[in-house]
Amino acid sequence: MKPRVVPVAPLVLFVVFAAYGYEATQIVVFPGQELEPFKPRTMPVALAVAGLLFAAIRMLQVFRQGEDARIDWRAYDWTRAALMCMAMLGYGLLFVPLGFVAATTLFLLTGFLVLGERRRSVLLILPLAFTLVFWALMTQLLDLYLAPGLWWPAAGN
Amino acid sequence: MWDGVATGLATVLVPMNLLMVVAGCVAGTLIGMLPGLGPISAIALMIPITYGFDPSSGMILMAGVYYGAIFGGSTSSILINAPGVAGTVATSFDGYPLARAGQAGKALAVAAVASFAGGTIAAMLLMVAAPALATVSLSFQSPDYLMLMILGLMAVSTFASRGKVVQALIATVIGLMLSTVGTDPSAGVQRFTFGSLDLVDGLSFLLLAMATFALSEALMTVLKGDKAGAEAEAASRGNFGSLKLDREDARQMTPVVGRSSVLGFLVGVLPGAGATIASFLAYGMERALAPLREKNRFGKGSIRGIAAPETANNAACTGSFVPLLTLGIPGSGTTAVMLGALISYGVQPGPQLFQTNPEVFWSVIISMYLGNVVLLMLNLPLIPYIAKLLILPRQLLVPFILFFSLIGVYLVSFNTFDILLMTAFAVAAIFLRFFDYPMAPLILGFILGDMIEDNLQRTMTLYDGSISFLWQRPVSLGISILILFVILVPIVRAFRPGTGARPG
Repeated sequence: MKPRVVPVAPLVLFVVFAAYGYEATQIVVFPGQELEPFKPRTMPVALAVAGLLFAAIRMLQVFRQGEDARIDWRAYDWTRAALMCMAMLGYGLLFVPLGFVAATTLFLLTGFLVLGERRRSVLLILPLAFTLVFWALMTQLLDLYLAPGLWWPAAGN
Repeated sequence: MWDGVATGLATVLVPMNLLMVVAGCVAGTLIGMLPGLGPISAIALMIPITYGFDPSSGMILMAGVYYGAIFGGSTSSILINAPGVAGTVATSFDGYPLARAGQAGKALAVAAVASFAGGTIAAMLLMVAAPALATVSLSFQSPDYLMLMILGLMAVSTFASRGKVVQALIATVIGLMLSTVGTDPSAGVQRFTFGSLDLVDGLSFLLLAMATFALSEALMTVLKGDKAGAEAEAASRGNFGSLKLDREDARQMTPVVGRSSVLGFLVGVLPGAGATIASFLAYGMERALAPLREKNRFGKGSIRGIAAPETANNAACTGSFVPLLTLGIPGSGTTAVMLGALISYGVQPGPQLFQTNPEVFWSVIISMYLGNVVLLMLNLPLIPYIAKLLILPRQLLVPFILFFSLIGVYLVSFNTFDILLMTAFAVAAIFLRFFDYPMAPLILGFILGDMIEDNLQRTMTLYDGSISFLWQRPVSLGISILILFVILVPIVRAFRPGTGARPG
């Protein structure tokens, strides 16, 4: 039996475009602007219509050709990719409280570990050494500000 | 023109800018060699570094990175049959078999000399074509620009994304939609900010470029579990054979280089076509023109088969600067990223650039020529050492790419919200990539979005909401006919029997 095709991407995009279109209709139009040929919502509304149209065409294409069903999802390492995304989110959230040096060292260490690096010498030296060199280059040489961290007593904020 | 050349030479031939050419070429080669990272990622990674530079130095570095990345892509195509860049796929057809036959050095030398010749001839064509087109385009008005930008978007969607036109159009619309986030420039109304102060200024182009290219490509490497293969290890040992070319090689290459340079340049000038199409066209053309004995060697290590795509892709890279520098309209994803960089330096590309910032205009052209010299003189002899990069462990490389992408954006905005937003966009980009939605039209749509809205508003105001400009202005009419042609080509191709193509 032929597997049932679900046009995942076009469906998701159709919903996104519909939400965008709804938001576009909520854009404020100041009194007197109603009669002008071009309003702040003109282009967003036109884009929403175009997006919905293309997403519908793509949906029909997928039903005809079954392209969205051809991906072998099990062939990919989702766990590692998800962990790397979480590491990036963590980096963004901890950057200010931990400061550049600690947050970056932690991010690189996590990245190496998640991706399978197990040599202790590399894990112990490389993240911290690289971060310190980068920090020195940015703050001492280029005079750029890098968050020193809020949680350290001697951060000097 | 010669005054301009003198201005360009005076700008480029200062120690700082010469260093930029060399650094750009070397950095571009290193990044371009890494499978998965193309010129767009290479240039995007350079943008934060160049923020403090003057526009000329920044653009000189970027042009060097562009060339270097294409050259680096050719190197990995030839050595390990893994093109780092789509524009060098055709190079692997003959480059890899020649390398397998123990003549990797010769294949690399042919690629380098052909790239040099293609880039040089195209740089000369650019010197003539760009000022001429800039002069003509001074008469363009808002409706013409509007139609020209729509043509660029349509061309990228249909030509550069063959077989996935609808996905490319959707990606373009997404890019345009993302450009509407923030404060509306004409009325000062906030759009799609959801009350967040972080979104009031809109999304940064750099953030989007890094997330959709550098971050998502690095995460795709994680998803696929790519590792350096046995071929990469063999290449890294650097046993390439001689790098010298003999008289017979030169005799074979000369006519190929001449033809492919002109073809590559013309294809590069067309919006949306670019290096990939140019290289395949040149390869096909040379195979068709070759005598029977030589024709049989194609695919088995033909010198002409390496020279043609390499000449054409470099010539096309140069050609793609024509619409960028003269009209301010990028014709490809890579030049779209460069346009974003130029705007961030405070330079507005377009016909006025030729008059307001002649040093930027001409220094880019001159630096392209010097970039080719650097690639030939410096990068080629260094290839045995640079090839060691091919075996750099992915588990160390990927976190560094992610770090440089994230910190690059942070160092511009100093706002950690951007790091979170980048992660979200990278995840969305991976989702789209899985379903064959190309990223280049998205970034092009985003960059052109503001300009399209601005010109649309002026046009609508000028013509009181009517679309009569389409037939009242000859330039707009001509471009509209081209747009129609661009839309009709894939439809006709889809319905023509025996082509094997299908709609979309």
